[in-house]
Amino acid sequence: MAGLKLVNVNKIYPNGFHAVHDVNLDIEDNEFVVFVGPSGCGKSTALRMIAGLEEISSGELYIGETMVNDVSPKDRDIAMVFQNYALYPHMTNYENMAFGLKLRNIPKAEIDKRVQNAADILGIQELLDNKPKELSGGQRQRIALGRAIVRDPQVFLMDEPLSNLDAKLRVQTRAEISKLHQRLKTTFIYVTHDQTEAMTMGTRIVVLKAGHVMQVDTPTNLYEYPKNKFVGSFIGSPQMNFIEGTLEEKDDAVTFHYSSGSIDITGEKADKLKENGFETKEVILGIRPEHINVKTDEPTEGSPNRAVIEVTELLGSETYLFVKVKEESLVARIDPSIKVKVGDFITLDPRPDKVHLFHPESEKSLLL
Amino acid sequence: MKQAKGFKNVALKTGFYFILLIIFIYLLFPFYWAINSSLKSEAQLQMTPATMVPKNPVTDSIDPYFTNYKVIFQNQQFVRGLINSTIVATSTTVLALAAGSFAAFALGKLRFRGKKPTLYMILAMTMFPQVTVLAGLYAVITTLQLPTLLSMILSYMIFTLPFTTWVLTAFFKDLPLALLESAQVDGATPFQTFYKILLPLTAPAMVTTGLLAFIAAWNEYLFALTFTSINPGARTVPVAIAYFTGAVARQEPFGEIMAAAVVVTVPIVVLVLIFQKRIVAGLTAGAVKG
Repeated sequence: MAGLKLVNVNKIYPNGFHAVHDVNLDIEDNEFVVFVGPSGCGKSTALRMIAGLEEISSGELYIGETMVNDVSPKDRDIAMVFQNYALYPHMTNYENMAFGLKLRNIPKAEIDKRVQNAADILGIQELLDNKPKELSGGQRQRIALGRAIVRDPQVFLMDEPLSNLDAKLRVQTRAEISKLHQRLKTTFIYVTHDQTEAMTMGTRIVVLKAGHVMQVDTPTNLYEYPKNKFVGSFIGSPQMNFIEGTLEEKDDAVTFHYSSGSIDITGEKADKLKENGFETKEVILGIRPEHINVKTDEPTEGSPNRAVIEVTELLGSETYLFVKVKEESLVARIDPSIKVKVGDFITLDPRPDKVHLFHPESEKSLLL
Repeated sequence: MKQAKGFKNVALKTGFYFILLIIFIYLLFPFYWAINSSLKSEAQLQMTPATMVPKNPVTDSIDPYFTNYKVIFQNQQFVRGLINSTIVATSTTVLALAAGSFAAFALGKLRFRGKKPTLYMILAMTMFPQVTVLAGLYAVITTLQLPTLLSMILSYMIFTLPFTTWVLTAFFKDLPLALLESAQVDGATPFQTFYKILLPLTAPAMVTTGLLAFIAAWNEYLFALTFTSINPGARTVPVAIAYFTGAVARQEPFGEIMAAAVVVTVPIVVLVLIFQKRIVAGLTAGAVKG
């Protein structure tokens, strides 16, 4: 039950690999923070530095008010759940959960109380006398969670705890971990490469790329206001579409021109662009599939925003159209009631209030 | 076609069991012959052709002769040798496993400079033939005035320790790192991690390597013969057997030697039977990911 603070934290391996660059982060008590990014982005390294399993090359790490750079993992009052569970195979599940408490010389009665309590929370009372190898993946994951819960730590660390579970169980356990967080009222730090997990569980998300923090924000803000092209593309599924083009300023609006048409940007976004002083004329426009409407008006050759359907993916509640607009390949999400088939020509109608604009070189957003 | 296949199967199976039988006989016949000879009297041993079971030379009926066993247990040298061997082999095994598992933990799981050279140096230790170090060792022992039993225990480490270290290193390496990290976060010191997590998990390997170390120490002859030359009271059992003398000059007490050989083999067979399951687990563990 404590906050966490990372000040200019770096990790440089002896072989020169710079895994984590100048991370600054203020995690408040009781937050559920998710580190997300593609593999090799340094998210696990960052977590392991917080756990004390990796040395911090430079910078400072505080848990609560104490700087813990040189504090060993056992004295940091943290608990960690590992990707492959890391249960001790020769101990029963009860012993697995009690191990950390025994090492701290906590009285037997208290250990028993805590283990039973954790077992109640996780619904694993029946499994306590078994050994880990007798359990399914999902059950093992619960034991691993239980082992962390009984410790009653200041900070819960989780390193991709769901990635070894099958898809259905993953969704279920996701919700359970969220519930657990609400119940335990402790700081959680969770590492995943899956943006869905990050978006559904985190109160705040740290997006990392190649060791750099790209953005730290709430799920809604990441989705609505990505700071850069990487965050835009990483958050949301299917990915945001990107189109290269140029901006043209008009009296009260801005028009984006690209190879086969244009999009008028009005209102707030146009104001913001003007306010930021039009850094560049060449831009990358980002638009999410769910923000592209389509018109089945069978456009003629040369009419603006005309696209041909290459693939359709029917998901029941929605349909994804993979379309080609001249040389650009885009994805649009449409209502399944709109009947279209491969080879049909349609007109794309992107929602101008939902576009994102990025600088072509720095890839930073021009709208923030 | 089907019939031909069936015939081929039968032929293959027959061939397989035939080869198995040959290997079986090849391995066990010497031991069988030792038991057979140990149950023969001097007269029975002289019979030509040699009989497959002890037979009465006159009546030709089966007639085992147990006196050999009685005699060897009345032989103070032999009994003393059994005790000495037990002390030496057990101490060697325990020390080799203790030191070997510590070394293997460091070599298998900890990061430090000069790990590879250390490993190869340990391996290199086993490359010298025993004879080459014998003279030097003898000089060292006499200079230091070490007790003979202790000198044997220490010198047996030359071949048991590198072996246990190498085998156990391979085992420790295969244990997932996450287990150690998990123990670390749980609050275990490196030593607690070692004996509460790693040691129980490497038990099969410990048993296997320990048993092999025990057998090597139990059967060792050259060092024992040399070091006990001035102290007959410290003779181990292989040396004691070699010093068996017959009742009359130049007589080789063959039956007694065979009886002693059988008696000496028994503890090893018993140990192997006790730890049978663990040995199989130990020999195959680490070969495939569990």
